[in-house]
Amino acid sequence: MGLLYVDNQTFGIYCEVITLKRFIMEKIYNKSILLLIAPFLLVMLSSSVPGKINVAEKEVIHLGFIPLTDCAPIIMAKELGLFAKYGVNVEVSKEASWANVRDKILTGELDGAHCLFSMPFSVYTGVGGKEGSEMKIAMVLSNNGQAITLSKTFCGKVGFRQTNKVAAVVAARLKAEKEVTFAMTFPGGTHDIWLRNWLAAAGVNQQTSKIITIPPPQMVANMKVGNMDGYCVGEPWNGVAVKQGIGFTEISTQDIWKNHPEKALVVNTKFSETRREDLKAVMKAVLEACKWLDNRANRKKAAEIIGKVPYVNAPADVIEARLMGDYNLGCDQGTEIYTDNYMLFHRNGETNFPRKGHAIWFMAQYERFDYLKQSPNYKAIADKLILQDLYKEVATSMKIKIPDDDMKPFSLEIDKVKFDPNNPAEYLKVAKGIIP
Amino acid sequence: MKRAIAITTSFTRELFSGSEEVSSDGLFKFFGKIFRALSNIVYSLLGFGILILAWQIISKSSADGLPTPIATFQVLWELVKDPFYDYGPNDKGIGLQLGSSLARVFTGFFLGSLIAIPIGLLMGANAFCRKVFYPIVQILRPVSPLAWFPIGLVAFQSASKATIFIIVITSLWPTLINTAFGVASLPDDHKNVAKAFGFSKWKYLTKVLLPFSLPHIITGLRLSIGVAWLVIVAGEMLSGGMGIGFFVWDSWNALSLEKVISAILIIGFVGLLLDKGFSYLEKKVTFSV
Amino acid sequence: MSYLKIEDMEITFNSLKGSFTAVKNINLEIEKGQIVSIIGHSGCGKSTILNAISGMVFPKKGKVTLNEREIKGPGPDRGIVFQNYSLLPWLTVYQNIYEAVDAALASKPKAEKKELVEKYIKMVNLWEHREKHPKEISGGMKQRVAIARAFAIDPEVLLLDEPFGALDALTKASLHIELLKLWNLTQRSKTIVMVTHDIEEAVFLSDRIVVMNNGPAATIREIEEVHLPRPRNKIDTVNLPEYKSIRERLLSLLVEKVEIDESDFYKEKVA
Repeated sequence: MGLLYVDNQTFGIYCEVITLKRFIMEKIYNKSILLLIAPFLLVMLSSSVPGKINVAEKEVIHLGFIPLTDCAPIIMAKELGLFAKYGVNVEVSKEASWANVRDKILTGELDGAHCLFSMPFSVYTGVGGKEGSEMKIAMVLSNNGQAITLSKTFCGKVGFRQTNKVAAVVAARLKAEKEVTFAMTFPGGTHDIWLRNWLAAAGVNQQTSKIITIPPPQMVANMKVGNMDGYCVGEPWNGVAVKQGIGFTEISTQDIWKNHPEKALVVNTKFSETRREDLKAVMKAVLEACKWLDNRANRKKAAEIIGKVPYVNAPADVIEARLMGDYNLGCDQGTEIYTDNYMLFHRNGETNFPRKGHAIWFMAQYERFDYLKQSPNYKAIADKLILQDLYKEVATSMKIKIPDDDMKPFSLEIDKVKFDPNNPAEYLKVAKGIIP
Repeated sequence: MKRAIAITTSFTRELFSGSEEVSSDGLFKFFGKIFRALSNIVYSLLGFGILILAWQIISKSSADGLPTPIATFQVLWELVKDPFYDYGPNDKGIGLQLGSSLARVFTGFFLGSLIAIPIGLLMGANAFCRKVFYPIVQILRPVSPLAWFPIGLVAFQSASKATIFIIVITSLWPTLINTAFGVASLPDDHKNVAKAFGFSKWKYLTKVLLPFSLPHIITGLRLSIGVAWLVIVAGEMLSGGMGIGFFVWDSWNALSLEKVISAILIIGFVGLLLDKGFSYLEKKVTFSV
Repeated sequence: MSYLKIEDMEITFNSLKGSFTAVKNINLEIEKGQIVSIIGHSGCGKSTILNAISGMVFPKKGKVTLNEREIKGPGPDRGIVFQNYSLLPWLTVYQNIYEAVDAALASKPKAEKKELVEKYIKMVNLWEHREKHPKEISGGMKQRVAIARAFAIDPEVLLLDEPFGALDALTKASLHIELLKLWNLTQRSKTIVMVTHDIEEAVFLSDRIVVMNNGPAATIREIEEVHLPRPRNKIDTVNLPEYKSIRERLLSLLVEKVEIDESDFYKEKVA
């Protein structure tokens, strides 16, 4: 047998730098390969990679939204032609998750978005994002309209707004199942804080409960199979749970804090600085949409529009009912009719004014629930992230009333503890934390 | 009469024997081909039939969980009969969504191959490179694309670029490994020819190394495109916007399982086409010694 | 003045199990234009000697010189025909030879290279098959391509490593003639060193036959001179008395048993 001994060193190291052109030529060794690759290359080249900007597109403003009922102001501003009316070219895009929205606002892929009011503070303090990242609040979009849904296994054991019965029921469940799970949408977000406030008011030990962040359809799916004890999320998900008979509405967020700030128009910092006039135009359009939405006569139409596939993609009747304040509570508890504190978008300017006091309240909650070990610089952060002067300009130009109650003390309906934005430490001494 | 029977039986026997050399008669060959093609279709239909039957049974017994095959096919039909409608950025036909996903897949796959093939060539040809790179390959390969997403986001400051990044970083491994394997398994015979006749490095690369490795490279590419297609769906769920993956996510958000399953069927079908395309390529470049 | 000289050569291979001496004390001098065969049992290092001449392996001790120059590696002055043909399967017959010529005679102009390729393909009668791939041609044809390839680069020395070992006897016989024909066409200026198992082949083709001892550390046992007249042919040459005597000599050296003796007969059991 011929035995040719060949050693590696003799061939040397073929670490030559092959230029791209030659390399591609070698790849196309066989003409048939080229023929088969060609259509793929064409598909690639024809669909432009998203993110490319050409001159005409520089003017488009990208606003993101999450498919929830309270994205209505942005959607209606688009659908009613209000953006066009104020001279801006806005494209709305549906996003996959709150984390997604956060990332895209920070990178600038989105100029602004329908966003949780507390997200900028959560992100800035490092609770829900990279500490120090700045997202700015231009205006508040909505009040109320969120709820806490409990699994039907609690049906009959605790009723609507029976907060005092909650602790016992949860304890019993913990004993039986060895764990109790609650879900919310984003760490440090509005739903997270409503849930924790409710648990604290009920006297539940938050350390022994699992509180997890998952997307809304997963909340519903889990509750269906008995893996979820309760969740706090925006409409239409609470209505959907009732409709499907898998859970019931325990308490709505307006019962926790009447007319609380919920969603805001959060914008990318650079956008707010370099395109200030455009941002003002956007805000004007959205403000007009908010006004339109507060007219009950328009809500049916609104429900129809936002229920469509490109937007919330949910049945219009479920959306409409809760928009009108008719809460079918589920679990044979009948219907609760909210008369003045269902989901509201304007309230003559009371809603939309972004209050620093509210921002401080949220940050105090982070300290209260052990998200933050040290007190953040409350006032400075609120000043930095809330574009209050910008809002005042816009509101003035539209003759919308600017409230004067910012930084004044207030208290929540659920626990009646006084909160003074100028002195959060006092509140923190009194407020119940993770362990009641 | 007897003769007719004899001919028929020998003909059918030859058909079932499955050999290519049925007979020199062109007509027999033609019928043979048709018969084989039809029997393949029948087998496939049988397989799908079993699947659909199992599906029907599960959906009926799971009560309000899984939608039935019939309901799903109705939705599927709705989706595909008008695949290219465009009512704005958030509502596009399934064909356009697919196109958008495919574009991203091919971009990522192409970039990944650009990285994988040269490194694979290096690793296969040179023991030093192999020893240095292989541990890195082993560590990075099992990492889920979803874990890469945040890194991509930080690195590229853009969700859409991060999506392409995760396709690149997860789909390049099969190509890399197969290329390295192909190159390393180059028989000594061929190396000796190059050595004996004094082939230059370039000639060695283009006339010996690459042609030998090409079937392996294409196998690697075929596996990689499969991975890339898998990953795009997951990636789009994370990054939002447009594409078949985001369509699945959005349909889930709307609690429309029929659409989710329809999308799954479409995704599977496209994956099959991609695989077949590359298999065809493989056959074309494989030589027998 | 010898042309190809091997002086006191020893070749050792290093493996995981230690070092292994293949051949030892090899001294051989070959004149230009000679055909020399190396014959012996498997593992006796015949191919190793060939590889040393070709420059694929380096001797531990001693050296090989060609035309006074020490051999340091493979080069276009030595052409090799491998046992397994070693044609590149993705190239056609024409391309296989062309690439070798292109690599070995890189400095020549393209037209000249093409001429060379054409000349040698025609010499081995494969012109009609030049666009075929190796898998489409027979074993004998593949070996003819390999021979043409080795000749085409116009080397000083041709090294053939059991070139006809894989072929049937009939093809082998005709290829012997082809090889001699090619050698003649070069005015018998090429030196050929061939490794073989086949005694008949060695006697028929060579001017000298080197008989090896068994390995490891094999040495040269004996060198036979073959004075058969040229040109040789399969009909007359094999009947010459010298042919027969050399053949017998080699048989006695290499083959253990050349006949069946008394003890091998089947004996009927005496009842």
